[in-house]
Amino acid sequence: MDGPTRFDEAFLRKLEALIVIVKRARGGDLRAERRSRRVGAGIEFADHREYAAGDDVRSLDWSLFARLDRPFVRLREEDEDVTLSIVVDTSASMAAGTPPKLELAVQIAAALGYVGLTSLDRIAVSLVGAELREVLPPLRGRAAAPRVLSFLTNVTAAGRTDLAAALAKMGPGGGRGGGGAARRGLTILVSDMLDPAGCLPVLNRLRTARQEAVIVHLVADEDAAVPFEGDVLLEDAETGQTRALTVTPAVRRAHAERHRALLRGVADLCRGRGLACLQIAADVPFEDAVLRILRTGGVLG
Amino acid sequence: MTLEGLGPSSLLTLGVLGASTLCALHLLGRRRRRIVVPFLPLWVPTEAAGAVSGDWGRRLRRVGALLLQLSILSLVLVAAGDPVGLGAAAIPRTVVLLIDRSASMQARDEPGTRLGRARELGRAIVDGLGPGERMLIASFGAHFSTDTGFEQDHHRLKAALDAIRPSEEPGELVEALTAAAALVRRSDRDGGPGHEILGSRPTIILIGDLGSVERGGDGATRLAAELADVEVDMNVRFLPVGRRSDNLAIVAFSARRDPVDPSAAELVVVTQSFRTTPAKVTLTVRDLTRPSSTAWRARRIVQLDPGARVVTTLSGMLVAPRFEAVIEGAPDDLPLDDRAYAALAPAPRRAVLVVGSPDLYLDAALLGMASAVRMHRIPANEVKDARQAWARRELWARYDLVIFDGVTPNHPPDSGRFVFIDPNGPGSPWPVHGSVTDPVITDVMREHALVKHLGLSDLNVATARRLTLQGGDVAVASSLGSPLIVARDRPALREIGLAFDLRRSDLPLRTAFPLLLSNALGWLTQQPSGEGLSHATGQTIRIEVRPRARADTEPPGFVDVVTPDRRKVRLPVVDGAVTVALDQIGIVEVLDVGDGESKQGADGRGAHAASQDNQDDRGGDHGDNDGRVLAYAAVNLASPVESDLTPRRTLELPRGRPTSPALPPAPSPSPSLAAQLPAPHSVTQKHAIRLVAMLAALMLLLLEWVTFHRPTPAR
Repeated sequence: MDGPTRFDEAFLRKLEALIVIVKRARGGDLRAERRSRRVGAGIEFADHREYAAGDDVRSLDWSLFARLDRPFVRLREEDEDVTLSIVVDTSASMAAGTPPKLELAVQIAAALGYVGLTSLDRIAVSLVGAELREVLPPLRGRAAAPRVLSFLTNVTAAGRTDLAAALAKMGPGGGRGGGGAARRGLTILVSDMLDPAGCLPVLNRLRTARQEAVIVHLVADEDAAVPFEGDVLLEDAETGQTRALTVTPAVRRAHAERHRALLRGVADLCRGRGLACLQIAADVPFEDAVLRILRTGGVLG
Repeated sequence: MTLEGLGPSSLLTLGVLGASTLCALHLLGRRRRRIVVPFLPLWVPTEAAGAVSGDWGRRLRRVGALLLQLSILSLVLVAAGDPVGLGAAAIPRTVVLLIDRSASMQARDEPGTRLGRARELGRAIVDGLGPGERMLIASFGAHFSTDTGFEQDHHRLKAALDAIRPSEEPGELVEALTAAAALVRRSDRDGGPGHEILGSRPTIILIGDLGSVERGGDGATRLAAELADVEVDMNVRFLPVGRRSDNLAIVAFSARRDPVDPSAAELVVVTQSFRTTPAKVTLTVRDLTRPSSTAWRARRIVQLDPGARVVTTLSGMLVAPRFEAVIEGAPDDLPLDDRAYAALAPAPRRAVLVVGSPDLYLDAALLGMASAVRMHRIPANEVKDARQAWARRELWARYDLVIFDGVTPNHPPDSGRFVFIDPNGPGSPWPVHGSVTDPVITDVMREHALVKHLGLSDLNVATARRLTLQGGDVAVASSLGSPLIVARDRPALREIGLAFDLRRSDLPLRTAFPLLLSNALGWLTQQPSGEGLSHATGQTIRIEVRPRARADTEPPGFVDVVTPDRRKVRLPVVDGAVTVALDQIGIVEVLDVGDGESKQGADGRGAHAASQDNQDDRGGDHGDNDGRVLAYAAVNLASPVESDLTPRRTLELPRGRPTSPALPPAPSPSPSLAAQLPAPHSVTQKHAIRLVAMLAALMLLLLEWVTFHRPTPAR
């Protein structure tokens, strides 16, 4: 899809309206920075722990030492701006659907990025397929919104899907350089989860990355429906692999069952790993999808 | 089996095209529709992918689908071909439809006529013709004729049926059956559509009333005897027509000149009743040469009881060349035979040379025949002198007859026509050996033309010469072996001898004398003068004529024959006669070519009649071709068998013949057509195969639709 039509004036107006909605939902203060779970130099008490050599003696809690006769240090939550990492699946399977799943995915990414920049968070956007295709490094400030939109303008669906491998190449905070220390933040994966390797590797990857993660599972009707009958030669949109098949009612039923099993599997796996999962139809308005994502990700109350 | 729909070549073409198309589509269909899906494992589990691509069952199904489609195509082609005639009952036959168009078929006891009913039955039979069956339509009256060839086109067959016209002839059934059988046999030999191979027997369907077969008595037996000589080795089926017999007929009508008075005619009319109730009719005889107001010559009331035959003789009628007899007053079913005709040949005027001394008796008799005889006499000494005699011999040839009265030439003539009265001397054709005194006629050859109508039993002769007969001589009358009247018939020579002097007998005083002269004149000149010229329809006769040669306009030897319906046909004269086929009741006129053309105007009948009347009035030379009418012939049905309208219900062919049994007698008034038609193919039978094929194709199509799935978008 061409850029001018993908993020046109109407889309931008919808983004502005979305910002208003988000502000209202958060009480009108977008400056309330997110608290990281990182214990650091903040002023908000977080916890106590026993003193260890090397700790700053200034953090000793003398009152507690007097009562317990054991040294403890005060732990305070460190205030920091979090990185919102938006990962968009751009594999060929994302072209399916009416409108294509990729279209909604890009709109979601653009909207989340816009909202994030408005909230003074850092926003990183990654395009993944069989590998990490493109990365927009973390940006901050509302002035960076055009760069986000520009980055997403010419995104097309192509190639295979290997989300786990692609995420492995992502650095902390969404930039390149996989394997580095993960920076705390929120990762939103927008994908149809149609990965030949299954969704388990990528979910495990997100979990082990110590990232808060929200899985936005886009579902298109074409994924579930069987719009043809008889003898066909099916070609996989990503791999090009073909299979001869005679579509019969039994085949249709089996296909529908497999699709339902896929949806259930993704949801169950996410739930089992403490990951938020949203299954969104590809034809819903992106505003609704974004609000649901923000609520699920804790951005909205 | 034959195809009533598309022909074999068309079916073959369509079959090849259809099968090629199906095979091509099948091959194209094997290239499955390629559909791009986002994630193949959702559609085909990995473990089942191999099974899907290598499913032999599916391959067999695809082959089965092709076979099914080819089967459907075959069935559709079968339906398009519309095959009919499977089974022995449908073997195509060769059928000859023989229509009786004899005179009795004009009877009006059926709606319209019997012939109309026959046409109706014929059309029904044509409609019942099966596919591949060939039919020839023939008809017969006195003669057999084919009206079509062996046809399968119903329209042409029906048109031929409609074109059959009734004849006025008696029917000749045996000849017709013989000819029809020969036609069928020849058709089979000429390569009919496998009748012999398939075992079908040719069929002759006869429709008629068998009017030519005598009713009752031994008529059927006689017919069977005649048919025994006919090789009718095939099915003969008979559809009778006719409901009743209600007819009164003139079965004979003839006229002759009075032998004594050639200016008078004697008419004989025979009427017969063929109805079951008595009838009284008025018999009227008219002179056709007169205007209608004056044509009436005689009228009689005739009482006809059932089956009775009444002979009415009308004597002393004024001679006319053409007579018509009509019975009226009792309408019947066949008007054709209520009218009959008779003609009298014009009496020729013969040139007679009498050699001898004047003989009052002979001269008086010849002069009494003045309208028929032109007499000359020469003295006896002219033939006795040798030189004059030879000169006279040249003269004899110019006369129709030379009578030597009491004298003989010095040498017997070797050609010509002569009468020797009391021959004697060396020139006598019969050597004389003595004489017979007071001979009494003891033997008379009654069948000889010379003594026809004569009574000679009490003839008195004083003295007669004893003549010696030679080769070719017959004694017409003799007295104890001594011939008194001798006739000699040799090539180019005819002679009659009277062995006595007329003046020494009482023969000249008897009425037999002019009759004898008349008979002698007729026998010698071979002209049956005074005989009526009545013939029956269906005959082919020779009419002796001598047309005038017209070198400037017409080749000699042609005459115009005017038929009773006033059609004029120019026919050649062969050996002094014209051959005419008599197929219509009425008067046939033979006209000289030139005059006939010049004066045969719009009212040809009147012109001829007036011309003939003028001749009669002149009393002139009827036979010398001076007039325009050369001859007449009266033509009548003259067939009591044909006039008997009693319908025959069965036709029994001789036993031992491989013929089908005769149809059962049909109930009156009309037989059930369905019961008598030769098993026509019903519409359902004709198209049963097509219907079955179409249903089978439809069933297969439904089966294929339910069973197989095509790569079409789901709804």
